[in-house]
Amino acid sequence: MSVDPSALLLGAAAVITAIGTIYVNRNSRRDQHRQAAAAAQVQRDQHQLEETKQALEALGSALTETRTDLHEERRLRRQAEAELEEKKTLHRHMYAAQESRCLEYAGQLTDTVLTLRGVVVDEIARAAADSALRALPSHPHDLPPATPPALEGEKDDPADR
Amino acid sequence: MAVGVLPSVPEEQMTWRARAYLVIAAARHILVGAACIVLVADFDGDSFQVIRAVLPVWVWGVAFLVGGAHLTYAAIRGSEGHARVALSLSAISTSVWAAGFLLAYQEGGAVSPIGVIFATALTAKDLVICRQPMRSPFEPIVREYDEPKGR
Repeated sequence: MSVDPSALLLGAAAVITAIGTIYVNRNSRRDQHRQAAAAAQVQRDQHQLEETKQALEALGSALTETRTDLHEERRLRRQAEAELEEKKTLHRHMYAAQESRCLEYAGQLTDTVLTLRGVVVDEIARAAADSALRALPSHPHDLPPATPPALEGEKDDPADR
Repeated sequence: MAVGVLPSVPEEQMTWRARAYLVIAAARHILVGAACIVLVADFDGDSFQVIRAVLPVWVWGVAFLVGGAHLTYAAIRGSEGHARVALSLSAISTSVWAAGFLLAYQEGGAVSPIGVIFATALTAKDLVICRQPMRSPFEPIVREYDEPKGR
């Protein structure tokens, strides 16, 4: 039984091509698996990126809110400081007014005390004088007339000299 | 044939590039097969002497028609496995014809190696297409970026 060599050659070409197709198909499938894994990784990264983006957006909005609160707090603090400063100024004015009034009262009080002391001194002096006067013996003019014993002393009266 | 020894890949939509190539290859096979069946007398040239010696022309025609139908089915359905098998069979049949042209040219029947060159080039193109991914796993991502859904 003889086989046509041409048929053998064509069969050999078919086998070689078939082996080649199996080889390239396997390599293609392997590449496809690698690309599928890379695509899955890209999708996972994309998902993570989306989550990170949402977290950043939430963080940004929270930061904005905190900043707004901080500004509001600063504004309130400045307002409170201004009110406090205004009250301090008012208190200073009131204190100064009270101090001046106190000084004035103190001056008046001192004057009054001095006056009172003068009055008291006068009264005391008057009382003392009255006491003294009361303690004094009666004036000679009030006494009954008598022979002045001082006739002898008239010689020595300087007024007479 | 080749599907059984290959690892499985999750099915996705086939790219339009792969479908276009499958349709073109199917048209080539169907036209050649139809010519082999309808215009049998036109294959009397010496270039086909080896091919005719191996199998009758109408048998080649039927084989090409079946291959073309398989390629068409793979292109319409978008099945990667069928496409790989059909392209592999196309490469095998085309390489057999290339070998036939080469033998005819060496025996002195064919006056030019054009048939060898064309058939070999077609075989190489089928192999290159088999080597490249029939579908790109990145296409859904690219489509999502091109036409975002639900945003």
